[in-house]
Amino acid sequence: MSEPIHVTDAAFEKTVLQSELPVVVDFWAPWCGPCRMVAPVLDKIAKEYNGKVVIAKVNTDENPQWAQKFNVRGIPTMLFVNDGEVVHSQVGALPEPMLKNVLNEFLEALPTKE
Amino acid sequence: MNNENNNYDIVIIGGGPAGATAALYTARSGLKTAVVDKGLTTGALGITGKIENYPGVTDKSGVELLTTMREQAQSFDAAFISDRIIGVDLQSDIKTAYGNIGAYSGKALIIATGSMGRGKRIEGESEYLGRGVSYCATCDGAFFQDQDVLVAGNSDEAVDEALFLTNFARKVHFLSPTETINAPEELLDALSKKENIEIYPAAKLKEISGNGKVDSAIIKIKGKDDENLDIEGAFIYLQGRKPITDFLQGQLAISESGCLIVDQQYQTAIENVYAVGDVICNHVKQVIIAAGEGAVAAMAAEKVLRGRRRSIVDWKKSH
Repeated sequence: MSEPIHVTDAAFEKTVLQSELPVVVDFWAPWCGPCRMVAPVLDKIAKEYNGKVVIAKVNTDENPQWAQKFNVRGIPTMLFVNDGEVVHSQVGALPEPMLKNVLNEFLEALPTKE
Repeated sequence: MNNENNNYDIVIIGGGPAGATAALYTARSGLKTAVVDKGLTTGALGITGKIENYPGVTDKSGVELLTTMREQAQSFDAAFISDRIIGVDLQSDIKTAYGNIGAYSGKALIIATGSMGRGKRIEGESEYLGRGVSYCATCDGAFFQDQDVLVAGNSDEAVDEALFLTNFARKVHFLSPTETINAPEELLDALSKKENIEIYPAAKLKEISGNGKVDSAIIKIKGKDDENLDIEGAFIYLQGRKPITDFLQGQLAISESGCLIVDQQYQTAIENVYAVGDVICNHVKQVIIAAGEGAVAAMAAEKVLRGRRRSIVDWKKSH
């Protein structure tokens, strides 16, 4: 999966919470400027981290359910999820090197799977 | 709402005297110029009562002088865009400034954001960012449908955002840290006509609290005891006295005093990225100095973009 996956409310549980790989979920909306800043960075990360992490995107206009459940009240919000647990949340856009730092820290701190 | 990248020769962040003057010079030399600014009264000149030491100008308020400067740049086709820049890409050849509404790209970028940025945060502000605390009503307003929110600020930016929020929120509490709000009359009129807004003059936002998400705020109105407001959102547009550099997110070196560092042409460490006005600290904070720096940077940028070694001064050209 070298591209971000667009996830609906219905598919969220399976794609994000039950994912074998760690997931970064980006809650976004088309009218949000900061989200547009993050989008190309996430596209790039999806390619570079192919096989290590899943990049999932949730359009909160069309799919508000999980955003509400996670108390998301500002976008972009990126949740770093492993085994169905939110390990870290990042509110607001970050430039590429900083977002990669956050992602690397998240990946390095994960327990190794048998 | 703009989904496309807007491409320019020069993008200027900040429309105060430094930015507006830079725009006048670049636009007049035929470069496609955009100035992105949060509002007329969000900067130091916009809140200045009377200007008495800008040569050639008498009996004008800060807003009037600034409006004249902007109109002059606009007459040469500089575009003035109302948006708050939240991030930039300076590393690529084409520089991009990302705003809450759009993204603006240029071959050169001039940073003229001034020094009315905030230092200290309010208690609870960082903790609840994205959990009720927001700096962008356009982005996050829709999450507060039929809820009570507060807006803290006293510029036209704050008023604009509050007006936007009235479309979603059940009630908007507008806290102005000063007795009066520094916004154009028509905006204030629009604000006072809204039924779901309550204005608190001379009110300080002291603390934001909640349980996982924001549920209340402590405010202090001048001459009264602390008050508790039940709110679910807090939109903050307060100002301070720090150079505004947070949108750079560490992409440019900042001096100990928090200012951007530039060379004699006002270029930063990154080629084609300039900084002028109060956001750099090596000068006195005066309108004429900021304007002068804007002119120098604009001519330097123009020279580079046009591939010339020396600036050409056209003494005869007049409008």
